[in-house]
This record gives sequence, structure tokens and C-alpha cells, in this order.
Amino acid sequence: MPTNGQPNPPGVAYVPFLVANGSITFGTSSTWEPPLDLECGILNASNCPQVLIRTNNDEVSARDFKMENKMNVAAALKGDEGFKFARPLSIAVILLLGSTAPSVGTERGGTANSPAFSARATHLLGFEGARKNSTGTLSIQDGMLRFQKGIDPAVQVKIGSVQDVFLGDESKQVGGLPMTVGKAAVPFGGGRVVSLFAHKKYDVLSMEYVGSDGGVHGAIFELSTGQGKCLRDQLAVMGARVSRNDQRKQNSVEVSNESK
Amino acid sequence: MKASSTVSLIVLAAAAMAIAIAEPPRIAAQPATTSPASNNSQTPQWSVQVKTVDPGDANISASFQIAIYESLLDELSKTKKFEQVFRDGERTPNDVTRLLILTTKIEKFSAGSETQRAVTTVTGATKLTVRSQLCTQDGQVVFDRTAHGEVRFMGSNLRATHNLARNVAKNLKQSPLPTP
Repeated sequence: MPTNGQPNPPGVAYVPFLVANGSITFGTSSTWEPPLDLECGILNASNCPQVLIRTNNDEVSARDFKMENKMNVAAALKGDEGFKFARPLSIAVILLLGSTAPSVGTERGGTANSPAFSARATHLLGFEGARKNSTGTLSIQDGMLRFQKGIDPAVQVKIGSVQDVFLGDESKQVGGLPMTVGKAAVPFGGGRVVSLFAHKKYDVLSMEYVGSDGGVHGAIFELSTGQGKCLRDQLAVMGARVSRNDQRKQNSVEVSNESK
Repeated sequence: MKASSTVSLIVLAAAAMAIAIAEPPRIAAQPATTSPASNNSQTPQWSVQVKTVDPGDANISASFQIAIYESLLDELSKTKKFEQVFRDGERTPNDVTRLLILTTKIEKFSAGSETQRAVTTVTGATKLTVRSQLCTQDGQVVFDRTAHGEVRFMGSNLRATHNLARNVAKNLKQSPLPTP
């Protein structure tokens, strides 16, 4: 968007921007970050040599364009006459970005969204790329269902590819193998009494989804009671097909057997 | 008295010898049953496509069906009897002509309880029975077997699906398949 009506040079684009609160917001790509570093008062476009800044009379390469500090930027906003770049900057227009800028903006814009759902979950099996029986964070973000264990890279699938979601619940003994061994060691069958109370209910969320190769995948997650329903509802809202014939009916039979 | 004990000793020794003679060929035959899988590396191997589990009339939860399906894929890959293991619906390359299709139908399912197992030891087992069929692309059945999976003592209910898949894979590994 050149101010003097001249056509854009090849490979560059003009984008209006606004200087405010010590940061620069670009007209159409507000999340474009890398070449600008106003914290140190320097407009650093060394990685982006195609960025040009056009003033009323001159066209200056952004590589050579420096600001003394953030205060000068603020002064520019107020129209301070002492700052020679102030008026051209605050009035105008004009920054040109390389052709890669829009795609970068899209990517960064996506990650900036807060997750629609996030909870601790145990991946039992099936989610491609995730370890079996690993505990991590299951979240919905940017139309993806994402599972991340610690600092490992996240594994994710598109929610649109989820074919069916089932919700059930399960009662499990807590403590794992050490607890089991400990219970076995308790004399006079005392371990059995412990077992009566050492169990916990979980929500089990099972889903079928289609992978990139067209193959059907199944995944099973274990969540705290109540969170399975939240996740299922969220998936339903975002377009996943959800089976309403829950497994709770069947599992309630199991629970009633336990109480006998 | 002495003579009868001598006779009985001779009979015992003869029986022991007979058993000793009979056993070695059986022991030697055991690896032979599994050897076709290793020999298959020279001959062309089948690929297999695993279909999703058919619940049949059994009142089985989806998590069990999914767990059986995923466990079967895992276990079949481990057998190395098949060149490639494909998922249901997966686009198979055009050059895969030697493709078998594995269908699994639940015949019997009894839901157990981990707590019940932990408390009583003898009740609360989760039991699964499935019928597995391996068909060629033109519908010819080359393998038809019933397999069981159960968890009786330790472990979660879903462990039954793992045991079941292991049994199906074991049966498949031991059964001879027609030459592709």
C-alpha cells in the first residue's frame, strides 16, 4: 500500500501499522513478531531485508532504521517535533513484508489461542505416537485433540477426523503393583480388606478416529470422574460424532456386582 | 517277593525308556511348528488387514472393542508372520495382492471387576471369547479359530484384551497358511 500511488516492487507488500504502547501492530498481521525488537529500542529487521519503511520523502531499509528508545516511540505517538521519525511513523502507512509473513502470522495466531479444554489424563492405548499408560495433559486447541506428556512433543489429531466418542467409567485398584504386593503380605487376609476401600472410579473415554492414511485408529484415555463428560461434550460441540449409548449402563451392573 | 520286585523294576525301566524315546522327537518338533514363519522370509509373505471388532450379540463396551483391535494390530506385527499389517480402511498399496483380511467377532464376554478379584481372588474374572477368521480377498477362509482371553488375578479389565490378542496372534503364528 504505497502512499505515493506507485506499484509495489516485486516481492514486497505494504502493510499499514500503528505504534502504540511501545509496540508495533501491523495492519493485517498483528502476530508477526520476529524482526522487530522494540525492547532494546531497535527496529531489527536484519533477518528480513525486504522490509522497507517509507516516510514522506524517503524509502529507508528497515535494516538501517533505528530508534533510540521506547520513549521516542511514545513521543512519536504524541507528535513530538523533536523526534524526526515521529510524524511519518504515526501518520503513515507502510511497511512491507516478505511473502512469508502471512503464513507465519497464521501459525503464531493459532498457538496464541487458549485451549478449550485441558485436563490430566492417562493414555491407555491407541493414540498414535503416544506411549501406552503414560500420564499427560489432554487438551483441545485449534481444532485439534492434543496429548502431551511432560516436555515430550505433543501428539495430536484433528477433531474433524474423530469418528465416534464413547464414555464409560471404570473402577480400578489404586497403588499399582507395589500396593498389590503389600496387600498380599498383610497376614490373615488383611490385604483383602484394604482392597475393599483402595479403589477409585475413573472416566474412560474411548474414541475412533481416521488417520492420515485412511486407517481406523482407536484410542482410550482415562480421566478423573466428571472430566470425561466435559471432554466428550466439547468434542461434540467441535464437530466430533458422539455416541450417546454410553457404557455407563453396563458398568453400573459391574459396580452393583461389586457392592454385593 | 524278590522276583516280583525285580519284574516291576524292569517294567518301570522299560516305561522310562519308552518315554525317553518318545519325547525327543516331540521336543524337536516344537520349533519345527514355528519354523515356517522364519522360512517365510524366503518365500513371499501375506499381508494382513485387521478389521474393526464385531461386537455380535455380546453386550461389550466400546473400550473393549477398541482395545482388542489395537492389541491385535500390535501383536500381529510382533509375530513377523505377515509382511505388512494394515488397519481397517487403510489405503493399501496397489502392489499388495497377497492380502488377507482378519475379522474378529465377539462370541462371549463376561465383565469382571478388579476390586472383586482383589477381595475374593476366585471371582470377578473378565473373560472374552472371540472367533477370528482370516479370509483372502476373494472370500476364501484360510483360518478360523476361537480364542480366549481373560484376567483372573492381577491387572485391569482391559488386560483381558491384551491376553486375547496374544492368543489370536499365537494361533495365527502356529497355523500354516496357504502359499500366496
